[in-house]
Amino acid sequence: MKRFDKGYIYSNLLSDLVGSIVIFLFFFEEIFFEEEPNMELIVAAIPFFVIALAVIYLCFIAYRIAYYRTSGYELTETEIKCKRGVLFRKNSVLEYKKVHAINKKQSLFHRFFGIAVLTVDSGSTNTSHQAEIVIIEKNETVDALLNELNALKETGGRGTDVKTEAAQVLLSEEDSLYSFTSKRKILYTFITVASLALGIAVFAILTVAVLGVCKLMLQNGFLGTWGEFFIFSALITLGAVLMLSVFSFIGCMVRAFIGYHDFTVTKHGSDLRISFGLLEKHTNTFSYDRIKAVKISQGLLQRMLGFASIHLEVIGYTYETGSDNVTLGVLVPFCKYNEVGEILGKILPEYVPDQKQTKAKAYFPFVSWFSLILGIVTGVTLVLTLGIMWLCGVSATVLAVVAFAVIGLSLIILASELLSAALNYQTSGIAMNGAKITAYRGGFTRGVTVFMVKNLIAVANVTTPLRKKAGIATLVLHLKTNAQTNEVKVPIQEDTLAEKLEELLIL
Amino acid sequence: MKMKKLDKSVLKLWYLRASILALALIGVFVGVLAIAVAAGASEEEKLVVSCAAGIPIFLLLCITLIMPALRYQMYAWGYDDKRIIVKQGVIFRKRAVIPVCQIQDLHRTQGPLMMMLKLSDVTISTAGSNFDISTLTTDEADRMIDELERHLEIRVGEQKNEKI
Repeated sequence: MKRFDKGYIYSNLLSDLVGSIVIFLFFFEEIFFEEEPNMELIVAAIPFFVIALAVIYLCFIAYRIAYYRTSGYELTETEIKCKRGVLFRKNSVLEYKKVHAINKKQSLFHRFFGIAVLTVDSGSTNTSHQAEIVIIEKNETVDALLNELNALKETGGRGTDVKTEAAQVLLSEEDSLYSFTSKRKILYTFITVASLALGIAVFAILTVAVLGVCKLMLQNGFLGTWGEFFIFSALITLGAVLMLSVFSFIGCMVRAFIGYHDFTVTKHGSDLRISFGLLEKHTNTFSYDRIKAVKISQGLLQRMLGFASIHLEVIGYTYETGSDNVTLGVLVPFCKYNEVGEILGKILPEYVPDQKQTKAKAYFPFVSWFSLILGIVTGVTLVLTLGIMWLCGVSATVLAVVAFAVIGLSLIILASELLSAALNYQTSGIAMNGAKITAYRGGFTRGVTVFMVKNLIAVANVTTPLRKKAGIATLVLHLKTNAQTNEVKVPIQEDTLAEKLEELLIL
Repeated sequence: MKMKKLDKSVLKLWYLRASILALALIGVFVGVLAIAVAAGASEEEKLVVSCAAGIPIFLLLCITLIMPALRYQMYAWGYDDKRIIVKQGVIFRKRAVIPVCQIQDLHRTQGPLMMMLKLSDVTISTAGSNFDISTLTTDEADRMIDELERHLEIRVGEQKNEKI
């Protein structure tokens, strides 16, 4: 069995050293960064710290060397073998024909030593960390392995005619089927930050309102008059929103320009290859036949401004199951909603979403039970609170303020719920076009899932006695994708649709 | 397809489980009262604590004791050579259809109470979701698993022939 490249030891030791120093400084920050540092204490402590750091670092060195010695891989005639681990050892064997996804990852430290990590997955795992096969090799070797494995997965073994497509590598911006331009990256950053700021602002306003009521109730007088209190609260809120926006803006810009640097989507025979990243370079390869669904999603602001992002749904790797997988499943990080058809037409023509053929059949079922219960609970709480306050002899002004605050809060909840229900009513629908199904759902946010009938596993319809009388039901479609994302709900449709889908399913 | 109702012994199992839960709820109520007494609460305070803890616990008790009967009434299941259908739910009624050819594997599980009453849960695993049929008699579960395996082999054979 061939061992991993020695660069693995060096790159990890370098990252371990950086990590150890950061942890070290974090724990002993008080000694080193005091306003008036005690030099005697520092001098006396330095040998102890150096020894402690050296012992910790020696443990890391021992572990990395042990990992290097006990790990390796081998490409046989029909399968790929991999063993790894020190205390918990993992031996994996994966037949070429069962290879599901091949991903190449290269961090900044890996680049420094010219190595890359190749993960090969059979689709039986939920996250990339659990991938059956891991190979750490020189960058060029990983590229060659990536192409060889792609060819081997088609042919099933080395004995057959292997067509290596190394010469056809098309990883340049010009050849890409989708371009994540700087303009798009800036827009993506602004919209992500604005969504975050909006959420914080709503939360902050509600907090200020509640604090205002509490202040009056407690009569603490710490912040002076009502006017002073609200000006102070508004300034604090604004400051917090601005500060968080600046931080998230920097984070988003880093993600857009560094994380998604040189974003390319290319076709390689029967594979789709997505490559991106500056500090950590990802090259994700998916077979077309392994793609089970395409999800087009829009957040609140994205929906309002007409933008969207597109993710792939495959068995094993998928988005929504972990931050690493968010990066793995991304197909198009940001585009105009009306460009989705055009972009998918180039990359995955069979997954271009169809126009809705059905609409939601009723409005009221979209108003959630939870909100109704919350409304009732708020109302009852209001009456009880007012009653207790009245019994305690609280003044009429205070009673009025509390009543207005709670009524205001209830109205906000009710209005947002009604609006969400209206948007849900407008969005929900389904299109069945031969072998393809497009499901639309969502309120403030919208999700469109496109999948093939052959990837539909089961159909469930959920209804209540009243809805049954009216002939309406919520469809729950179970797809052949990752266990955590394999349900697509299409609310409040005609119940005969479930029967049509069942027929398609059984055929 | 003829839909079947669950065996009467299933209701016994669900009531046994509900009784255990009810006892636990009563235990919580007694515990809360004991704490109030130990803390030297006045009669009025005890009354407030009794009402605050007692009303929700009483409502939960009612739901716990009524639900098994309602759930039993609404539950129905059935299968043929092509599909398995499960109907369940009291307020929100769900009807799930699982094609036999999508079955990956079948599981039969039993807890201590189920073993005592000779009952089993059947879990149908597919490539994306698991579907439970709760709860069948062990004989019925075994028969179902055997028949579904046979149907699955036939369906897979048919589909292979269709492809050829």
